[in-house]
Amino acid sequence: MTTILRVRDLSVGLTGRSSIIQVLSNVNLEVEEGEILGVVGESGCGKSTLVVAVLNLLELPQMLQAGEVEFIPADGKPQDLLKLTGDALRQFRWRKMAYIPQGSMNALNPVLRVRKQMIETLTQHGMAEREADEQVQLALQMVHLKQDVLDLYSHELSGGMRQRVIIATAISMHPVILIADEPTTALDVVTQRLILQELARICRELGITIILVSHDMGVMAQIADRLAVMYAGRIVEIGAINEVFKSSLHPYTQELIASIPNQSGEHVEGLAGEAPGPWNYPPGCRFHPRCPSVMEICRQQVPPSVEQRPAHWVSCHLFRKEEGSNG
Amino acid sequence: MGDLLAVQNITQVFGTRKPTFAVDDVSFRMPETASIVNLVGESGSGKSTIARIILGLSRPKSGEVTYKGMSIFTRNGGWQRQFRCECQAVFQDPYSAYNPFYKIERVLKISIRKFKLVNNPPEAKARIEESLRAVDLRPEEILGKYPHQLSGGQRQRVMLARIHLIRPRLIIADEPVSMVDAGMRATVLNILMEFQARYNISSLFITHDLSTARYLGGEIIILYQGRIVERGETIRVTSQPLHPYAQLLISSIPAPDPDKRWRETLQFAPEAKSSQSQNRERCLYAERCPHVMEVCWKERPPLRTSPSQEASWQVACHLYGGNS
Amino acid sequence: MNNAKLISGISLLSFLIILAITGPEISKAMFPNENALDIGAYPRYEPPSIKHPIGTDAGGVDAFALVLNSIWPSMVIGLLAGVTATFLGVIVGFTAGYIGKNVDTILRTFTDMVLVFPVLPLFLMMGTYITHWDLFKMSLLLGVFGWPFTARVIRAQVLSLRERPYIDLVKLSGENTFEIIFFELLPGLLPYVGFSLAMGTVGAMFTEAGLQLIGLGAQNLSTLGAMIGHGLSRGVIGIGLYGQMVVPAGILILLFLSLNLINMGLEEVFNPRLRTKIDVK
Repeated sequence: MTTILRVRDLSVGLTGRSSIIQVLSNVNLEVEEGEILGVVGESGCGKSTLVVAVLNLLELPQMLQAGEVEFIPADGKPQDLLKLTGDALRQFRWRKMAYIPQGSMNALNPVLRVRKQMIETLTQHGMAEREADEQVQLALQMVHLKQDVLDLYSHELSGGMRQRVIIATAISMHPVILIADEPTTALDVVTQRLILQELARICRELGITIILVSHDMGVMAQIADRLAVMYAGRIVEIGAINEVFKSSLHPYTQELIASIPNQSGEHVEGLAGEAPGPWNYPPGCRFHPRCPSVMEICRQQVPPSVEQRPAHWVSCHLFRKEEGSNG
Repeated sequence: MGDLLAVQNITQVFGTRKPTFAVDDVSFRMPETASIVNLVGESGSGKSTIARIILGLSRPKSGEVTYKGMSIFTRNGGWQRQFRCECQAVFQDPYSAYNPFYKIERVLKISIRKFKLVNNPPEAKARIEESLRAVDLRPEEILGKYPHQLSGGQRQRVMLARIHLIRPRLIIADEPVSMVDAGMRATVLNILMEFQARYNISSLFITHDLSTARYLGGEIIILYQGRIVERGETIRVTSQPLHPYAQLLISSIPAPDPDKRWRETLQFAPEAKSSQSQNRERCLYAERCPHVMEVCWKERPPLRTSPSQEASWQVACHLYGGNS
Repeated sequence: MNNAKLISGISLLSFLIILAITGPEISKAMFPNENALDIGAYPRYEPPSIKHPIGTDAGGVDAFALVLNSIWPSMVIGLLAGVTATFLGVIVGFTAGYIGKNVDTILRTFTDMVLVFPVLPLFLMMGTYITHWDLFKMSLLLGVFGWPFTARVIRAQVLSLRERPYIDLVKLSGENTFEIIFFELLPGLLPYVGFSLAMGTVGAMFTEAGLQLIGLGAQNLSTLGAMIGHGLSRGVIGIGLYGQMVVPAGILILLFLSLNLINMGLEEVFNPRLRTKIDVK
């Protein structure tokens, strides 16, 4: 497994009137080539901010405070995305990394036909118009849409079809990485399944690495290979999907999974309290006020990230590097 | 014992030039004893339209809705007030359910005032605080704040506090947890179930999320394009759905378990053309159904008792046509 | 209430209002024992000097004194016209948006008709009938043609607000139509009413100026617009008396700026997403 994207110590802040509030703190992430990496967390945990930061798209009042985002292509030198600007950045985006923001299926231009819209996106990122025309047709085939969709307006398409148009546009430049933020949230269950299956197929057949951001654990369980769990601006656990689900390490992950109303209708309990927003991140481990296993150290120190099992990392004082393997 | 709520053959049509049948001949009942009914369907299934009709916010094109035997559109001020007090709603979006101009407790105060729930101001304050605590909120953290100063989970629980305050007999809950965080969902659902058990409040729970329907239990009614396709006990129907659409729906729930991944790859159905311009005297699912037969295109399948002969389990599908 | 735009807008507006009110007094103080506004008080087209900061105009009137005395009439016209336009607009727009259906169609058609009404020929006609304009008549006329803009904005907003879930919720809580209109919908309309007032006020002032420019305005009213109009028609720039155009135009622009700042500030206060800095609670 080769790493193609490495996020190191990424921190993002929010500019207040007289101070800066931390949103993301020291986020470390490695994305393996050809995988589907899920980033899960409740609303407000910072997962969308993480994506925007990685793509170097932050706008005031959000600002980058520290960190690197290294893109490591198969045949070239690693580049720090956060240092790219202007044309180089635009070339990079879409060609190397494509992004499907949340709600983008509703942001299609209502006065342009699909063909024009898709071609425009491509030409804006440097593709010649004739080539764009070809690529657009191929892309639609990739997502199983008929060519006559090209002549329709976005309002003539169903939600599922619009999302497929968005995905087609995103993959039409054959990016290395595709980042999708809540791609199925507004869709019904059956369409969601279709779209997720499409994404999985795109990953397998085209070799595109996918970073999937969602709040839905069910979605993650179905298609993600690895899962990163975020809480209050930090990644608290990351590992193979089976391990994170079946042998979760972090108390938050355990409680989150336990609180999902499951198949058998047994009683479940929700988590106590609520996730803090950047305004009131507690000191030390940000989960400590709600943690059933809280210890004194949790209130004071941020737990470091330890590789508790091979390729399974967790940030929790219950697991300490010095003590060696715990299980 | 009569029914608490009886929905009889309601139909709702929108648009004049190209009429859309949002609700097509839907009937169901809810008994006097507190119960939970899950109304499940995708967007476009008509579930929200049905909710609005039952709440009296819009009138059906045809059909009747009765509450405790009387039509909900009865023009009797006193009865209407009583109906309003006993039939309440919980909305999906905890933000837009509150007027951003006012403090959050205003919805509670209006309810107290309009339904004359208390006799004097100190009692009002006490009742409000009691209701907030009943949904695990601390009054000092909530009172005096504006909606945007509270979290989504808090706002949704204030909606529930309002229910606790009013003590209706029937709640129409339209997607009450779809905009609530994963960790809070179970809490909200548990509160709804507690209301049923402790205060004898029935819920008509409208959702597209089958896993929450399963969690609540009770009865389930599955809608497809305005028609009921299957209904019965939630646990039974969701484990062994009969109608092909119900089967598709239930198998498409993303199980939060990597060992239970979808086994087969769904094919993209020919995009369902708008059936409004076509014949409605047929099964509306025919174009997507893997078991479609000729009769499906010619006759609308009526709701019939399931092959297992359980009276409460009904399905509208020609596959099960033989049963009476 | 610590929004920069709001504060600067209100300060500027207050300053201009004070200037408008005290203008005549200031001009009297500048020219004691003389009536600087009399035709022929001074030689015509005097160049700017210490006595006549921006010179004198075609009638031998001190231009600066004229400016000081013209601010108030301009503002009154603007305000009266703005209030009239907003009032009419809110009534028409609200009714159309709230009742909907046929009433909406009728009102919308009516609004569009007024919108495209040829105002200039009307003013020409009125010019032959009305020999003596007063502030009131001018404002009213401008207001009567200024309401369609407000009506559209208010109608759109009412249509949007009507569908909000919180309206349904208060209906379910027992609020009647009257209460819904006044307590639920109206507060949501206030930013738009404010905006309409600002636009209407400024629009009326500029329209009046425009009319003066083509000679259709009220000849006997001294307004900033009149000064600009006369200045243009008499070519004061050609003889180097720039001030006589620049100063009144500048004041109109400052007025517009102040109202816009207030509007932008109000919008930021009401819509937190527009802020680039956040408030830490």
